[in-house]
Amino acid sequence: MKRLLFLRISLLVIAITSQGYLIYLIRTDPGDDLFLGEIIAISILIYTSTVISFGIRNFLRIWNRQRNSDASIQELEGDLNSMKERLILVDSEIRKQVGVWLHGSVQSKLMKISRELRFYDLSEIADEVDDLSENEIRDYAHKLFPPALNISLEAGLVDLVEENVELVLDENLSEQSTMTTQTSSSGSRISGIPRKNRLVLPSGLAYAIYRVIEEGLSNANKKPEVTKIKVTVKVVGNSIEITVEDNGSKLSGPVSAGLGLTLFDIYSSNFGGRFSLENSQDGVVMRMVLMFTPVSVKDLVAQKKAGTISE
Amino acid sequence: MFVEDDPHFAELLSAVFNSSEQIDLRASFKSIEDFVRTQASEAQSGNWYPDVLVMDVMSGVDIRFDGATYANSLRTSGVRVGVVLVSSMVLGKILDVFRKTNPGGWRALQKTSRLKSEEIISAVLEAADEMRTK
Repeated sequence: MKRLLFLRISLLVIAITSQGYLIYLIRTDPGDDLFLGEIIAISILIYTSTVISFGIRNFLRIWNRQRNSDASIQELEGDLNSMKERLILVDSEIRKQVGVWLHGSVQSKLMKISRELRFYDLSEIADEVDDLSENEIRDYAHKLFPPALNISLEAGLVDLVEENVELVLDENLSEQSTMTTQTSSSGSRISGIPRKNRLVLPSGLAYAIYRVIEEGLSNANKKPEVTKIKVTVKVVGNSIEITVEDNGSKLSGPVSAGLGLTLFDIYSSNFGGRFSLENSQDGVVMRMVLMFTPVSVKDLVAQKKAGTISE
Repeated sequence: MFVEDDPHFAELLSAVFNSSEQIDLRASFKSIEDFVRTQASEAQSGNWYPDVLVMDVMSGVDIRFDGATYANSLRTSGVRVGVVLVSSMVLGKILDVFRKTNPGGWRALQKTSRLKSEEIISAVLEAADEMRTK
């Protein structure tokens, strides 16, 4: 440390001395001697201005680098978000396709085997095959992607909720605002005229809404005193607001992070939303907001016609 | 008329309907797209639609379009047709969603190896009766 300081001071003295000598050599009138003080003062001034200009240059360079790196970070964040969206889409599409395959193709083949076994009076083995098909495979398919969601969010939620649950679904998501059919002349496409512009949710979002409500209901049902649960799904601009409200015991303090909260956290973060768990007048209310781009059946059909989305 | 993409179940439905004296099978389709294609060319001429349409829920080539929503949209557009939905899942509560939109004429069958011919026939006849009296 001391050696470095000594080196810097030496360099400073050498720089000032050499500048002073330079000024002495290039003075305009050799006969006109400058005072030593003037030479030193000019030297210090030149040195200082040089240091300042170098400093400014370095500062500008660092500032530019910082600005560029800020832009790069923003670009990276954008890329990361877009990758996250694609991952969610791929994840839900794969879940959906595997679920459909298990529900359709695999179960159908097992059903055929089972029928043939029954035809040959092998009912016991047929029962085992049925058990595999109707319990294990169905459960697994359901975990991957609840099959009722293939019909609509409403069908999925109606299938999910028990009798003690009041389900209030936004009109824009309801089957009652379904489309009327209109077939093209080639008949190769299914299109429609929406009556009330029912919104079409991406499968990833429908899946997230389903899982969030499922978790909310599971939390509410853990409290034995709960007799009534209200689930509301509302479309507000570019967001979906979900609330699950029960009439059970209230929260006594901050909720510790468990699997359920982690799940809420993941979904709200994946869809740029937020969630809260707080006491209400009668019990506890879980609120979650998930962001999305509203696309109606009409928009979707128009996009399909324009070829801006894949078939 | 039925729409069923699973050849084994389609074979079963054909066998059941052809052997029944109460049911006259008009046509069968392997997918919703198949149904739509024929509908586009033939539905304008005369009484093309049957009394009852047996529709597999997941019989679309494009999995974003399901048979239940399509059948419901047919009803919404004014086609008087009873609908028997067929699926591996239990459709009980889900059927109520469609009943709310278009009351009457809805039945559901769950695809299992235990499903009997009589159950299929009675679902079709009940859906037809309900549409007639509606």
